Amino acid sequence: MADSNLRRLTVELSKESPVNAHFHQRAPSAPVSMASSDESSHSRGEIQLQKSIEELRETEVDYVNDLWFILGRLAPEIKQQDRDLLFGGLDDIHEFSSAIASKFAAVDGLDTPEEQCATLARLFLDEIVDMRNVYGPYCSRQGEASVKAAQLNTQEIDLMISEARKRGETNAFNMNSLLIKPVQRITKYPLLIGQIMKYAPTESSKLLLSDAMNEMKKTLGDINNQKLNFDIVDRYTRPAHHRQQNIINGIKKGLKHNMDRMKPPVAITNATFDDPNDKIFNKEYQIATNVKSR
Amino acid sequence: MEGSKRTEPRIFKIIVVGDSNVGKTCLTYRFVEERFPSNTEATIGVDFREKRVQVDTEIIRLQIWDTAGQERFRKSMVSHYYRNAAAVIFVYDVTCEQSFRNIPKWITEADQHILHTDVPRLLVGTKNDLESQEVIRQRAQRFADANFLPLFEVSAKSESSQSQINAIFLTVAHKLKQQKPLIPKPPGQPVMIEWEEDSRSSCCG
Repeated sequence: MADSNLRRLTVELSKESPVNAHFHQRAPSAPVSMASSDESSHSRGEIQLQKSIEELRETEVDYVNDLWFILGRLAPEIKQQDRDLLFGGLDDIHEFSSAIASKFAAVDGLDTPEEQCATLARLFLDEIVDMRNVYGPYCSRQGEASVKAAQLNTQEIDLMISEARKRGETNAFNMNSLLIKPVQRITKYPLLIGQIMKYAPTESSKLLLSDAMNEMKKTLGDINNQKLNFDIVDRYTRPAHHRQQNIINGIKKGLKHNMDRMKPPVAITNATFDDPNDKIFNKEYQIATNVKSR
Repeated sequence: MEGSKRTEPRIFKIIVVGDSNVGKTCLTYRFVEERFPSNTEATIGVDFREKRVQVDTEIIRLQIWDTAGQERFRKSMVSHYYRNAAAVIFVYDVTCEQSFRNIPKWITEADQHILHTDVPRLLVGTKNDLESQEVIRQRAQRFADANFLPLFEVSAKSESSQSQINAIFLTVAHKLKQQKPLIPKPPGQPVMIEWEEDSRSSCCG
């Protein structure tokens, strides 16, 4: 990991995205209280639009800072041999997100709201392949990483994070809440795009944004499937000792679970102890069948 | 070392789950910020909220994890939210039948990930300020009783619900402090919703 590189990206980003400055320069031109009644609905829409774009832009900056915090501050505290499992792929995501955050910031300099909307939509459509490539592997492995994080003694690290939280440097609580950030971020893009779309000024810009939103949803579906596949492959290819330990844990859990709950017995539910996804699927299937049989 | 730790407030992770658009974010926002988010306020991008509450003489930190936007990816992406959760709040929208019907799925999912029976669980119906109630209180109460879930009906929008929403989280905090289940739950009850009285189509498409 090229730390200095990362730092440079972050610094550049914060230099070239005077997010608030841009926004506040623009804001006075949208009259809030002085608007005549004719214009007020238009202005409100415009204000909402700017707020929505601002939310996309600012939360991206916060997110990039969180990623930087993980790579620059947390990672060095973790033993070399655990770093790949915990943080593998995050440097790519950081690089990608830094770039996209700068592009979001540049949108603010565009003249018309329509141009802003269209540019944002095209931005997502252009970046979507890269996005899938950098986020897919990370999201697939995130479950494993959080298991690993839970095994580590992270008291000192959690303290460090909570100090950073007090200083407003992150809104995460602990290592796991930081590691889950990319999963949270990518799943929020369709919502953020949808919000911007709601206030887009023209039909054509709405249409473009709608395309971007749908493509994002498709990509998320792909990543979700990728994770499911990864889990299945992982289950069958994990080293034997690892797998055995998991099966033992699974049985222990399963026994405890059964004793605790005495769930109605379902043959398939008990077939695999070690994969929570299977269990959910089976239980869902079971519920679905129950519902149908009513 | 032990002594110095004890002065730090205990931390509990609470996850709020339920279908998309049932108002999970507004519910936690109302609790943490004590108001409804204004139209222009960022609610989508914020993932974690924290509030300190006082229970008897102890200060407890409640860390609330927001899954907003990830509900569609339940089978894989959302699963790790459950890790180390100290309490689960199931949320449905009283104006959306489907969101109530999906509660058993959420309960089942939580059961799969949270193996301790003493993790407090609550059921919350939101948007009860709206006229178009599809899930009537009695029916929800029957379901809640059958599943040993305390039931709250609230509106994150109305000011008067603030105390009720505080009550939800304080109930959780209180139980977490004692580390006892909210309603002692005997083993082996099925999770079921009564379907028969309803043939209306879903509001959520």
